[in-house]
Amino acid sequence: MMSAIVTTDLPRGKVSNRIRLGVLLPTIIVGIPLIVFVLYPLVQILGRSFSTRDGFGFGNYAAMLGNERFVRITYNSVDMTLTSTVLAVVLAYVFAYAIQRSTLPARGLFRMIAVLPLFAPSLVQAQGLVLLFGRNGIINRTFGLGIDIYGYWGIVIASVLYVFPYAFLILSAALAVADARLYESAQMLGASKWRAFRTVTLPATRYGIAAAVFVCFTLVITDFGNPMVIGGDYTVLASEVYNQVIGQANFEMGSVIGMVLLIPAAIAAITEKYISARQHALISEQSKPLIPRPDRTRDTLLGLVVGMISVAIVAVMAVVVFASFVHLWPYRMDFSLRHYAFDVQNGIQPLWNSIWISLMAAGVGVVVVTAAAYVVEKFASPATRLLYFLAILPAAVPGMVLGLGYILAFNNPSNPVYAIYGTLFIIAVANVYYYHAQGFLISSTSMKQISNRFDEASATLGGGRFHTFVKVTLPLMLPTIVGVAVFFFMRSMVTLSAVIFLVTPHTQVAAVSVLYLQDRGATNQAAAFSVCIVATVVVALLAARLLLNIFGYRKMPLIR
Amino acid sequence: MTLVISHVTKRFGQMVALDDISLSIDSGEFICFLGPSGCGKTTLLRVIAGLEQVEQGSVLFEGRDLAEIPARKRNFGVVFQSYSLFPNMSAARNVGYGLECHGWPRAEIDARVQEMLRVVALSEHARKLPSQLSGGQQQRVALARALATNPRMLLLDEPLSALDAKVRKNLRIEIRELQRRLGITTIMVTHDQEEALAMADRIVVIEAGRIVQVGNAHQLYERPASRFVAEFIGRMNVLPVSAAAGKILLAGYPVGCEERTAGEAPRLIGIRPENVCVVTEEATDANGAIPARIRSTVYLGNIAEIVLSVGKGHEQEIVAEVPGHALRAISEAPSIAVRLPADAVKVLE
Repeated sequence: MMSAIVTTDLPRGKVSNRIRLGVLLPTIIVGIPLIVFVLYPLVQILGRSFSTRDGFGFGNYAAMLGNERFVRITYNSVDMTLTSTVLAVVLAYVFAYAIQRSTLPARGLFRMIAVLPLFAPSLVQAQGLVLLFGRNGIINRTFGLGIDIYGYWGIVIASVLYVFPYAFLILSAALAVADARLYESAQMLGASKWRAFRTVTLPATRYGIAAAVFVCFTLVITDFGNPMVIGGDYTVLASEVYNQVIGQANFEMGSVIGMVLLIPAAIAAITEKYISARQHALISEQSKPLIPRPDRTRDTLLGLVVGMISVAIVAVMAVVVFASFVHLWPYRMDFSLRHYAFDVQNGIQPLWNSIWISLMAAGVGVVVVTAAAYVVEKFASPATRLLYFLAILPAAVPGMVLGLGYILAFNNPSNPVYAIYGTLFIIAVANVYYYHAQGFLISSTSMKQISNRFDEASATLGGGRFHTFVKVTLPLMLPTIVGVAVFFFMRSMVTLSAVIFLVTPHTQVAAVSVLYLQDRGATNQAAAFSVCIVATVVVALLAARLLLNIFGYRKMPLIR
Repeated sequence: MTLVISHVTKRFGQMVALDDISLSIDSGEFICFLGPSGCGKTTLLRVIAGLEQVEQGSVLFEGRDLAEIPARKRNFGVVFQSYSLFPNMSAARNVGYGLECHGWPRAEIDARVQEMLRVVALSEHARKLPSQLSGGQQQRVALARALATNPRMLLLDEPLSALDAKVRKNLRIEIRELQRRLGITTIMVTHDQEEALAMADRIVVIEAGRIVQVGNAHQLYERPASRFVAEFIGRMNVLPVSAAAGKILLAGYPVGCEERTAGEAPRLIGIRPENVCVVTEEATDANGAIPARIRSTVYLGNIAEIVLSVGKGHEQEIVAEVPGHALRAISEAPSIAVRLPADAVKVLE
């Protein structure tokens, strides 16, 4: 058995058509958890969406399509999402352009500000906007205004701020690579700066723009935290799933809306994967890096836009921090630490739960995605494509849909997974599989860069596959492993959508506490929880950065 | 015979990489697989190393079929083209890696690593990472790593191709001396004919997955088995000829050929540029020369290259190599001719 695994006839040309168990077995071992924790819950949702009182059929879908309210909600969702996406991508493009292609001062600082929202629970934007512009908002009260932030524009602004860092990271990467020779020729041919931008920069970044559009679209249409807090009477699909499932325990309707949400998210995710695969081919090896030259007019204009966006991002988060430290918003604005006593229902337990879950998700996530990437890279078989598909499938699944799938699949004593249902661990598992696609892609990109030659060299020196993995592959992957762990930790700390259906009073997490407290009007405590989440994420990031720097991996990016 | 390869065939999809290869190698021999890129020489080496499986044929090492022994149990030292040093390990740990795998005790590993680093003159670089070493040093670490476990055979895949010319020439000598001293059977893959001629006891010339000739440097240079070998090793004037009345005719002039067997009617003959005699006299039937005209000349100091054309109508081009000092007399001569010595003319087809 062992010898079948350790022979090193790694496919160099075509895969031999003899499929041996030694090659297939790892694929099966890695594939089974993906089937159990991704595919099976999705199948459950699909099944439930078709189950009606009169048996299997399209009854639920028909009822939904015939329902005027539902049609309006769908329209609301699409309308709000499109507006948010366009705004976010345009603003992020200008911001990323300023960072990559201008001589604006303090670009490093602005870059940090741009990714700031990633450190906070996804509803912090709505939280901050309510504190600023809500009925008791500081702006309305100070200036005696009657701005009504609840509703369409509230959701749009919150969503734009929420997805801004994702769009920024994608566009920043697209703008980071540029071939100076193209700009030189454009200049030699007498093209104006605007013309050079239109004919060189925009086309070169079109895949980045498209990818950013699809990523933002998916994130906004599936986000429910912000609409819950700031939506007012404006209902969208994501909040409707929550209402149906939590409010009315109507799993059938919840499943139907989940399926409806899955479709645009899946289309967007697939298109994005297809597009980003093309991004890389644009720059050739002879390319000359572009070094931006000072230009006062350009830099002043960009500085204004970047400044305004930065103020918005910082203001929304700063007001949350501020609110967490005042006695009683907005009536007694004197300094107080009393909200950090957490004398609410579960006390500070949700924060500890979040930290435990995030640590578990980081640990399990690293093992799961590294194993998947390793098997996809090193054990090529006809099943590899299927495994790859399963590994990136979660990118197309909204968090709430996955969470709902977990209820339907595992809240059932006859399912073995029921043993961990209702524990912190199932929440960690949900986070691992919700973010599986990104973790897997980070891991497999890094593994691709580790040449197969090392395996061959090791084999000729007498090293078995396991020995090679432990002594060679793993040490070379170390910085990536830290990066993947940080990624899972960060996302698990701030996510709301994947866990909302899985928390119980005992396993409540900090991000959900923020939602509940905000919902109850306990604004100050909600703010304090948000601040604790941000602080935890920042501490974890700094610790990982320090660790990597000590081992000499200064260039390994941690924020993705 | 240490290594016996018989009727080995290997395909990658539709492409036949190795086509019915048979070859025997003696203990202690230094063998070069020589051929252009893509000819299958590296694939053959990888088959021997156990990194590729074959569809047909067998490879026997000291009488045992290698098919049943995985790469890691063969104990063949392999040096890869890009060295494949483990980037996370120091030079010393790289050299000790194979010993660890073979379960040597710690103390013996340390002693052996020091010994091997001394052999390749890298003792003072033991703690450096591969990225901190020069190309030549990395190459020597790779060699030390491959030899540390006392392998039963040494396999080198284009070991010198990534190095600059000067380092390459020094390492050629070092590798050859080390191989002689250890008496280890060695196979080296190369596309550089000069390297093969300088290092190998025997050269195996491979073209399109087939062995076209096996021999030492002299045999390959003096008696190339085909036009491919003739052109691949050294330079060769390849000349189409016709046969009439038992004579070989080049552009209508008779050419003598000792190599020719009776009754053979060659279509292509070859002669190396240094064997072409350029004479500054009129060609006559008596001197057996062929009238020629100078097309161009290149003076290279010790030698000069002259491109000549012979014949009328469809002219033949012949390159001749003459001593540098003779160039002036030849270029100024009123008429010149070439003589192709019968013992230097090869039958190619």
